[in-house]
This record gives sequence, C-alpha cells and structure tokens, in this order.
Amino acid sequence: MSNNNHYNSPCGFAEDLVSYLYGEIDSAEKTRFERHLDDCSNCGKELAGFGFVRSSIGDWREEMFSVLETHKIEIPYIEKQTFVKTSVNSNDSLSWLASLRNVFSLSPTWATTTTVFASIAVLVGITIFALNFSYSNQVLEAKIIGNTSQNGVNAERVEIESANQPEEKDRTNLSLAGEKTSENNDLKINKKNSLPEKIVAEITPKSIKIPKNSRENKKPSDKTMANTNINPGKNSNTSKSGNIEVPKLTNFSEEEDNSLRLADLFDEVGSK
Amino acid sequence: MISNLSDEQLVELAVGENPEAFGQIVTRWERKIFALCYGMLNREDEAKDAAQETFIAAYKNLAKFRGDAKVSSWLHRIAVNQCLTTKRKNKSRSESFLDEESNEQERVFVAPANLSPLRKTEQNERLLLIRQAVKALPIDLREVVIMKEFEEMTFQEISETLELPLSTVKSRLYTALKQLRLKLERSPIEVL
Repeated sequence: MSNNNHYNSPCGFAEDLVSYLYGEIDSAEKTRFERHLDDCSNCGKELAGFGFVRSSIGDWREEMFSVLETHKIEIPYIEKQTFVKTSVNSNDSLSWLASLRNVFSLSPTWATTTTVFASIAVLVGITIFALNFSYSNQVLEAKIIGNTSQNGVNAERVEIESANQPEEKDRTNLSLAGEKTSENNDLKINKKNSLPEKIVAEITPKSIKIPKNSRENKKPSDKTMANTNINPGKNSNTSKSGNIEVPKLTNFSEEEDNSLRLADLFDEVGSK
Repeated sequence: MISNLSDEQLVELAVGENPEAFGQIVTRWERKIFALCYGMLNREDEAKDAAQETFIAAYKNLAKFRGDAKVSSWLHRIAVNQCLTTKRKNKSRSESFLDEESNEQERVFVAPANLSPLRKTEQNERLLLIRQAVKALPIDLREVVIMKEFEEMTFQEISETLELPLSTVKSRLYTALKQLRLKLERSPIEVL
C-alpha cells in the first residue's frame, strides 16, 4: 500500500492504519505495518482510540438502528403499467385496413392469391353489368305476352320491365287485382316504383279487350304511369282457347285506335 | 429463479419493465440504504423518506444506469445525494428546533437491562456522545463513516460510490475517526 498520502498522519501510515483497522490489507502490508506499530507508540494509541470509536458506533448502530424496522418501499409501477396497457389498447384501435393487412399477413399464399383473383373477377363483373345497364337505357323494348284463363282476368299478369332505375333493371312484376274496383270495371295496376321509359308488359289473357275510351289514359308516359287502367270488358267470352300468343303491341303512342285491331285479331284467332 | 440473478441482471430485466426484478433489487438493498440514510440524517422519519425517494429515483432512471458501475454503488450515490438534498431543506428550519427533536428521540433510547445502573448511565452517555459527534462531522467525512460502519462497505465500494480515489476515502476515514476520538476523549467517559 502506498504511503503517498500523509494527511493527518504524523508518521505517514494513515492509510495503512485504517486498512489494518478494517482488515482490508494484504499480508505484505500487514507485516510491514505491524513492524511499524512496534516502534511507533503514536500509531498504537490511535489504533486503540479508533477501535473504541468503532465500538461506540457499533453500539449506536446495534442499540438504536437495529431496532428500527425497515419501512416498506413503495415504487409507483403504475405509470409504466399504464404505458404498457396503452400500447396494447392501440392494437384494438387499428384501422380496418390495418386489420385486413394483419389477416392477409397470416394467410397462406394460395389464399391471398385466390382472394385477389376473386376481387378482380367481381370488379370485372360489376364493370360489364354497368356497361349493359347503360346500353339498355338506350334500347327500349316492350313485350307483352298474353296468358289469360278461360273465365276472366284473375290469372292476368302484367310484367313490366324497367330499365330506367337500378332497382328496376330486372323485371318488376305488377299484379293485376282481378277485382272490379270501379263502375267501369277497370282493373287497377299497382305499381310501386316510378314508371320506366320502356315498359315490357306481358299479358297472357285468353281474351282482352281494351275499351276505346280508356286508350287515352294508356298512353305511356316517360315519367309516370300511376293510373294505368285496363278494362277487360265483356270480352271474356270471346276467347275460346287458352294460351294464345298475342302479338307484341308496340307504339302505344300511335293515335290510331289499336284496341279495335287487337279485338279483331283476338276474334280472328278465336275463330280459328 | 429471479433471486439468483445478479444486481446488474436484475436491472436489465427491470429496464424491460419487469416490476418483479426491480422489487428484488429493493428487497436486497432497502435495509442498507435505510441505514445509510439514517446515519446521514440521524432521524428515522427523514431516513425513511430519503430511502423511499432513493428507490423511486433509481426506478425512474433505470435507463440511464451505466454498466460501468455497480448497482450498489449507483444506489448509494443516489442515496447520498438524496440525503444532501434533505439536509439542505432542513437548513431552512431552525437549528434549535432540530436539536429539540433530536433530544426527544434520544430520550427514547434505553440501555440494556442486564447492565448495572452505573454502566447503563455510561452506556447511554457514550451512545449519545458518539451520535452527536457523528452528526457534527462534515458531510464528506460523515458519509464515509456511515458507509463504512453502517453499511460495512469496502474502501473500493465507497470509492466507486463516491467516485473518489481510494486514498482519499482512507484519508477521509482516518480524519473522521480522529475527530470522533478527540470528542470522546473530552467527555467524562473513559476512553482507551
């Protein structure tokens, strides 16, 4: 042990003295210091005095401090736990896109590929449908297929196909109530949606006669056809056979009285 | 088993937000840190608060812990700084008030019952004297005495904790012991 520090030590063994006092001295230093103690009464007195001080401090520690309980140390772990909890909750608030990515990140490659192709097919289908829908707005077609029963109009069915609105792109069935609802025996067609520009009406009566005075109200409108009336009239007995294909009636807007020609046609067919 | 890990390994776990690891550190060192604070501050209630603040400060600064020092040295350094902060706060209070409080605590001490009445009196006086003598030491000398006598730390550990040369630690301890001896010699109690 070096003796370069002579602070408060008259003989220069201050560090060796405290090292010896606390037993932290190697054997060589210990032998050397013990030889010095034989010759230095001052270091001997100090060593004894320091021993008494240590004993007093030890008593103080044992008698007063050792009886004191160690107080419970409370560490506020909550702050970091809150942080962890917040991190976990952030997973719950992932956007739907992130959630979708998570799902696909766990899926096998074949599933991902299949899903991609399916999505492409759906998109192509929607595109083709939209193109057809647009085209059908330009080409209007009306078709009436008559199919009536022998006894009247209970089986009459008018099918109106609308291509004007997406809801009406398929055929819209309009049922004819086979009841007489007014004095002139008109049948009322219940129609839920607005009228299309193009009407395809399938009427399958055995015999149907459209009175002359009702023709004016039957003119198709570009916008509405809420009060379309068809009067089967007295012609139910004019039909003698069922399931007669009625020629298509088009050009309702013609000013000619088509009802007469239709009646004549039915009579002609019936006579056959 | 977490109790078998070293302090440094426990700190690594605690940095990874493992409360159990830091709890193990607290269990290992709370008594010694409390002893250091008690020796430095000489008051149980203040020592309790200082020890509490020491571990809280350590927990909050776990990420700043450098591996080049021992965990024990790091904790003791925080404790010494905490005690110095407490003493600075106490300076605003009157010294007489502190002395009255100290006397109140000192009267609580009772010598062991197996001693004769004369020895009991001498024992009480000696303990009172050494306590006052330690309290009167400069803080740089007192912390060395407390670490050595209350903590039973080695000179090397004190050197690392206080970031002082080894020779300085020994010199300070020599000076502190000499001053304490002189105070005890002036008392009527017999000193060797």
